[in-house]
Amino acid sequence: MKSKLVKLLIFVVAGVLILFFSNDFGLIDVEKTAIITAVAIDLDGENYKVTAQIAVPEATDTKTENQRAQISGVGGTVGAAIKNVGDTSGWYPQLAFCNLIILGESLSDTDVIFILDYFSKTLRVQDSALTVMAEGSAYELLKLSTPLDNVSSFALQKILLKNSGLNRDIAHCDVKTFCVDYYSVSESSFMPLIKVKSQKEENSKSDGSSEGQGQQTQSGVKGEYIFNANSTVLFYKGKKVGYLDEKQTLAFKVLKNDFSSSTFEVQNVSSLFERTHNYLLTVIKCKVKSYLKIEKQIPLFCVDVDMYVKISDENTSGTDLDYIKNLPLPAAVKEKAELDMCENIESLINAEKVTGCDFLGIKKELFRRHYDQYSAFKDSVISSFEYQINVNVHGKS
Amino acid sequence: MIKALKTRQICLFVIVFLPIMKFFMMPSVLAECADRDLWISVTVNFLIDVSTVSFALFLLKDENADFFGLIEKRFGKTVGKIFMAAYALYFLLKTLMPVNEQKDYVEYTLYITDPHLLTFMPVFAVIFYLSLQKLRVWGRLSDGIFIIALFGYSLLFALSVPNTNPEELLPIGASGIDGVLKGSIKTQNWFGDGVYFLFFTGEYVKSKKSELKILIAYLISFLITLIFVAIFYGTFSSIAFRQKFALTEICKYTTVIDNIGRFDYFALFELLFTAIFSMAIPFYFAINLLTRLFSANKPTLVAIIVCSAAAAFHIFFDQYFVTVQNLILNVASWYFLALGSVLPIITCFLLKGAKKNEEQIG
Amino acid sequence: MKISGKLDKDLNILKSLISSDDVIFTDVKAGEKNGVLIFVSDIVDKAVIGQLIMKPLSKLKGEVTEKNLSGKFLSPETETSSDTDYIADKIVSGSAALLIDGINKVFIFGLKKFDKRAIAEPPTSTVIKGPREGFVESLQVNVSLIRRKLKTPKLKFKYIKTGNYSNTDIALCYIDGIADKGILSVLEKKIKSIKIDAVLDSSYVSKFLGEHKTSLFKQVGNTEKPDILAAKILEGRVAVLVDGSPIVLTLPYLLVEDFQSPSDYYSSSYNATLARILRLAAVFISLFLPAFFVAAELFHLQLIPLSFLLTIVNSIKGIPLSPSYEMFFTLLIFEILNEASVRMPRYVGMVVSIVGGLVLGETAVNAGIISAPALMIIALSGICLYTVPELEQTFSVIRLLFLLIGGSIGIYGVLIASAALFIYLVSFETYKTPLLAPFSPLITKDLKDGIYKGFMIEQNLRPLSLKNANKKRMSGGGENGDD
Repeated sequence: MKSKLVKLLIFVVAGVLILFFSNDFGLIDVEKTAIITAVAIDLDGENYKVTAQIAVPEATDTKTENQRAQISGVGGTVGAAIKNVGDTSGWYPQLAFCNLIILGESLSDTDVIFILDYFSKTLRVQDSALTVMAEGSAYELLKLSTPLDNVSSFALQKILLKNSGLNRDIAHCDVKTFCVDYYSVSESSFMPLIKVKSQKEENSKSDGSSEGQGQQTQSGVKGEYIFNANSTVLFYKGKKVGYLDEKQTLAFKVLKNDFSSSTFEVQNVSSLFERTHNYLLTVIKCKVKSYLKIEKQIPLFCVDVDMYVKISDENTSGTDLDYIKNLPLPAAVKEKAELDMCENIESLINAEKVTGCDFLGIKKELFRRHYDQYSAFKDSVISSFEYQINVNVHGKS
Repeated sequence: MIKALKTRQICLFVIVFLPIMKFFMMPSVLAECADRDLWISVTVNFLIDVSTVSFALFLLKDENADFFGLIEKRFGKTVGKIFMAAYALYFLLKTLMPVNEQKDYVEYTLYITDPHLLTFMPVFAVIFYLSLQKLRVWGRLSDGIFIIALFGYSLLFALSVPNTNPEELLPIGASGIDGVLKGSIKTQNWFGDGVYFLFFTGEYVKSKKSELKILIAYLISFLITLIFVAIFYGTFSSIAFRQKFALTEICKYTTVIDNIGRFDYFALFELLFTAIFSMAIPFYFAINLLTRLFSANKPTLVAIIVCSAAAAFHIFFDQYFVTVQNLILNVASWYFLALGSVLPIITCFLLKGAKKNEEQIG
Repeated sequence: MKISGKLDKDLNILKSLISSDDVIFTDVKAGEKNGVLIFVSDIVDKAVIGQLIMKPLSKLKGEVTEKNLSGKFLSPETETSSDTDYIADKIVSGSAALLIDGINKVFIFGLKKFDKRAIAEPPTSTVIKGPREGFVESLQVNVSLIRRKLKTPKLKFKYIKTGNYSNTDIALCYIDGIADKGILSVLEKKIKSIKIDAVLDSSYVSKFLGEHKTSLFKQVGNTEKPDILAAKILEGRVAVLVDGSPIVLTLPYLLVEDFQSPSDYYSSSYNATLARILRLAAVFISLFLPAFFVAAELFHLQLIPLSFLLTIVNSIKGIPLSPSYEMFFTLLIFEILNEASVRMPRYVGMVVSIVGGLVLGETAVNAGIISAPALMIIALSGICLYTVPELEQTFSVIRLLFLLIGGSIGIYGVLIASAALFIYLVSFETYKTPLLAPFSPLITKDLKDGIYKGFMIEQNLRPLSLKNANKKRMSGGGENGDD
């Protein structure tokens, strides 16, 4: 028996050796793979146009090379378009590293789930990729380069990725979250809107100079565009139904309980000398309790916000004594901060009512907590619910 | 008589090997039937299994042979052979889903392109090799793999909890009794864990409170499964039903944005390694029963036939496995329920009764 | 054949048995009788012959008989025999034989004098702290080294001769009352049944003592240090000392032994535990890293962090070999260099290191034949394996096998192979001792000297993983009450 086992083992080893030296089970090794780090998707007539940002080490040094590392493909579905990318480039598109999906504005009137479901269903694609909508063409957005990074997708990821200790006012969304929201009882979802600003324009606005330096296309020269992702696009049943502006997005972050380690600007705080001052508050901790209750057959959405802040900057002058007197938070700043936050949240809730997009999850709350009354209110709750906002800002030294 | 296992080894066997096979396709199948009440279905199945184990534990407490040995002893060889044949079929059917789901899992989640079928086939060689081992090897495997599996489970849960919203499991009972029971029945293929204990009765060294320890082990195994399905639904909620391979899915959202890369694969590899053994369990017991059924001296020939047949089945039915899967989930489930729970409980009572009669006559 | 007492006849018989130029036949006078002293010139202490045998012999007067001769010689190791074969064996083993006409017994004097190596620190197990003496090739010296460590009458040696031509002395060493009698008798039987021409080293014996003849894994432990041996036999193991070998075998063997270094027992518990964890981690890295790296490059790119992947892509650009071939050939070169540097004389070894390290490595990377990451992976894997030098040969075969499997069918293949290996190891037993104990089967009390090195005071029991007759080793009384 033992000698038979040894013979068997020899056969196994021989087999493995043959497999090893002839190995080609249709394998695609690293050299034949196009590592896609971001895709931009636009509508191209009836078809989808997918532009893939390929990560090639040498190509990321310069703006022109960066643009060369983008390949586009067209297809009736996103999958077909990505396959087309592979067919035209000769490389196998590897989407495991694709961390960013940019949708062109042209897609906002179609049901975007047709696109995002591809990433959600296909196992070899990241469904944790961040999802954003470009103001205008996604392809154009991917082409741009920023002052600090020639690859726009890398620059965008730097803005969009969550960092511990630094919370930006962006309503993050990934493919999975979008799909989960889409298929939930709310049927509503959102994603950040990327606005492109030319630094040249900004600079000329600020210094009054009208002379530009022309388009920089030389190799090695960084671009002049910057991105803003502080607005949010709202979707209902996969179609765009509205936007949240920067203040509403900030309030949305608060309601999502994702506002700690962020900052909050309070402007025009009145002082004793009939002057107004501006303050920048660092949010140390923000506790939010939002819930839906039904009182006298009326759905009531309650929001309780407890924000612990400290002043990180103020445009005032004063002695150290004044500063100490102001600790931890002057009453006027506290009142103004509470008022501003209240207004922002109110505006956010109104946006939900106006657009019909249940990004606040009112319907989900109704389903989860008041299941017995869900069928009675499910169609009317978004338009008919009332709200009650209670914001408390606490100073913390 | 030297016993093959220790109580500790049975406990570790239950904790290490039984939950892992429920981590692949079962959560999505459950979500399809019971939606957010999937955890209730899991609890129902646990209660069924634990009752099987409890009856076997307490009614066959003082026996010195396993369940099938006892049947042969008390009810005669013919009845024993019928039971062996029925349970051999039970285990052979139970091998189908785990092999297929692990094959699909490996193909779709580990490889960047569809790998050759050969990639998965060597697993049958390992199953064959394991089938030749004595029962005590399972005890030693449980001892040895415990730390690996524990680390795997812990890392998996630690990475997936931050992205879980437990509120997604509300409202409780929304799927109704129908949904819950449908989920329970349809996932019988992954449960029936009490049956394995039937092979251990009379084969382990009893220690102080060993019955309680074994029941606690089953409870821990259930809790691991319960936490997993809860995290799974809390992560995917409305799209949970279409997440075919829950194991890879639930923890990637924490790591994917990290510069370290997908270190969650450490947990996945450890659990996949454990799953290779879990997958072999029904094979082992099927081969064990067939060897006894045909009164073969050694399991070698039976193991060769069973493993080759299984490999051939999975090669030829690869394209049509959806049909096989539907048959197993919808039709064979009743067979699994009957042989996994109902029949063992009744038989345990009959065995106890027969023993009393013997004692009275004696 | 028997000694007849007729000098000429007996001498002829002995000459026919041991006719060799280095055998000296010296005529002597014992009183009035003639005699011949026979010895092998280079293995007997001639000065001692003069002092202890010739001098008393010269003082003998009158009638000499076997009776009045005994007690006259000053040699402490004296015996008589009439068996010519036995006498011949003794002569070639380093004894001197005295034939006297008319006496049908031959006097045999144990006067061996071999040149032996000085006691030195063994190169395979050097320590920073702790005893530095190591075994040598002389069995007598080795026995004395052990005796010096364990001054107890319960320390026993059992001698057995093996080897048709070498007649090698083998000594079984154990502590009565601790070692398992069953294992001892099995070992004795096995050693007695060894029928080979010569036993030139203890490794010859170890091949016969293993219960799985075709196994890749070690089944017999070994050490070159008396302190380690003393500790092992105090745990209940039996040692096998072979004359001519500085390596002493110990049985039964546990895999965990090779992860325990001598220095662990002389340093703090924390350091020892950390060192053991490092060794274990190093072995894992060594076994799996090349296979996982190749598999990731070929089949599972998603496992590699993007920034590292880009570095790899950059470095392998233009390399003519596929990732699997590249790793295989780099490993092959490493193994060749390793083999060459061990075999070559030390002064050439330096050249091999320079050629291997600089010329082959650096130039191959610069020339674009292999990539820097592959070289780095193999170098790391190679170094890691030497943290457990005793298992280096076994693990290098497994590493190669894993690499082949990883390069052929990817990581799942490596997992399957690991599972098969694990099943093999857990079911592996020698002398009824599981190889993977105390981890599988789990023996919790023995974990105090597993990966975790417990404090000395905690280790009041001998390892339960091994069969031994007395479990307790602290607080002055054994379970079986023998000490």
